[in-house]
Amino acid sequence: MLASRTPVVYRAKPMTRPIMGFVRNALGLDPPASPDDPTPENRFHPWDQSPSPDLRERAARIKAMATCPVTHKDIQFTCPLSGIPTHHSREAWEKDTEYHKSKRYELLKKVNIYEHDLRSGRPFPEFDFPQDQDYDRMVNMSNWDLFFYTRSFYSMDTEFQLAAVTKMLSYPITIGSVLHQYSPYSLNPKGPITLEGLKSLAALRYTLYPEQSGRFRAGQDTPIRIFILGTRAEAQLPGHVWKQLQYLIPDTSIELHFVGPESFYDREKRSYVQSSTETIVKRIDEKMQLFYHTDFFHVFHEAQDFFPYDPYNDVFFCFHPGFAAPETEEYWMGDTMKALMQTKCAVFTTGFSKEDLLRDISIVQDKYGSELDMLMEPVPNVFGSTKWELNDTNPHEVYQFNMYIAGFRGKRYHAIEL
Amino acid sequence: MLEPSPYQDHKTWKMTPAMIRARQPFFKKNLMGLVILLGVTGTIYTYTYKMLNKDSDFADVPIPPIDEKELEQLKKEYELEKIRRAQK
Repeated sequence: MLASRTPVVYRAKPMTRPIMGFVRNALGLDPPASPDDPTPENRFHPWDQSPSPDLRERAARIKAMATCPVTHKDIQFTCPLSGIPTHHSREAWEKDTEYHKSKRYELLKKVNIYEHDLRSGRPFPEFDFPQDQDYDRMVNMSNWDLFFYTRSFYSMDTEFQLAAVTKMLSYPITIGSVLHQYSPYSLNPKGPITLEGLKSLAALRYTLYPEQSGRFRAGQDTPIRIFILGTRAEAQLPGHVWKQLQYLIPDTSIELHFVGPESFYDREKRSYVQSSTETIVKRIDEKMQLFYHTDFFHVFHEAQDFFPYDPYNDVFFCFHPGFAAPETEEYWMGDTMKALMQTKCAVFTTGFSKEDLLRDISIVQDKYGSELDMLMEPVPNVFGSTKWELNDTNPHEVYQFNMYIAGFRGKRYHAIEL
Repeated sequence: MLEPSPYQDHKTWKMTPAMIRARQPFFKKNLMGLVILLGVTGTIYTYTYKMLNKDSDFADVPIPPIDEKELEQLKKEYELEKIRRAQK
């Protein structure tokens, strides 16, 4: 994802003949679009004849690993509408009425064109992110478009630019959108946040906005610790992407803790670093630090490395953890989940799809139902990735990163009146 | 010259599609606001214009009743005054 980024310095062109441009505009004569601009037409290639070797290889992998939903044989036929290998043969493709009725080929086509766009070698001015927000300019967190506009990002005119940028920014901005004072998620019944959720978020916002809570003292601010458990792709995002989260919350310093055996990839050794004692620290600036803890959360929890937890300062995020997925369930639902419940801090989790998230939440509720409070009902994530992704072992499974979000927390007991 | 906004097309000065999308949720309320503001200004203007055109040279003021003799007297005075002016 990141390798495809070409370092391009974007500069606004000097306005050449603005008056002529204005006249042409008034007459409705638009200048012809540049052939470099991405359109669904010029980014469409069948994957097995793709100009990019990566995608030809991926098509071969789908053909090798996936099975046809109709004939249950191997996949040999490339759907002409989406350009992705989906069925065994043309007959099977024609017979698959569910495929045509649900218009799944449109989503598959989006997967196809977005992947080709990232490999097209066009300039990517949208990856030049803005710096500090001016003091008197508010950020609107209602949706991606308003967020980009109020933060003065590059003007993302096409779905291609949105797809490329939102996939990266989805992780920091999802965290930001939950914690921010102008969060798009409001209290029940108008929004998904429960009363318990508001209590947790209010505690966190007390830390995040020291000036508003009237406890601003220079040199004494405690950093907010954001733990990201089971990290994979998100731990490899470069520092300037995480810094976008800090620009949303400029008053408080942030410590991001990536926890999980796949949280630090050593590019020289080409393997994940694994250690339950050492922590890799990356300092972005005085306001933000990244910590990589390369083992399971319960290991550090039992060693009391993160102790003490404070619901005013600590919050947990799990980006598509797969609590209920058969491959990962055993890692999550045992000691790790117990440790999470003991911290009594807010935990927010996202899913690839509604079913994925509901499955995760229901397994947690089944196992720990009496020990937890729901903080946030499962809802579509406002700041999910808009790039459509494809599961290589089943090309009929199309999803987006961070599509749905929910939150829970180990139950806190109230003081008993005597 | 001012720095061109990144949300304006550099050649045509049009709003970019991203800006139009960002403004979409506010379009209805902005339009309603425009209608209300124009309505208030418009009503004030029309009201004032109609008020000004109502001026009709005191036609609505009744002439008080006048005595015949007094009228004669006034007419005479008027004639004398006319002659006096002509002599001057």
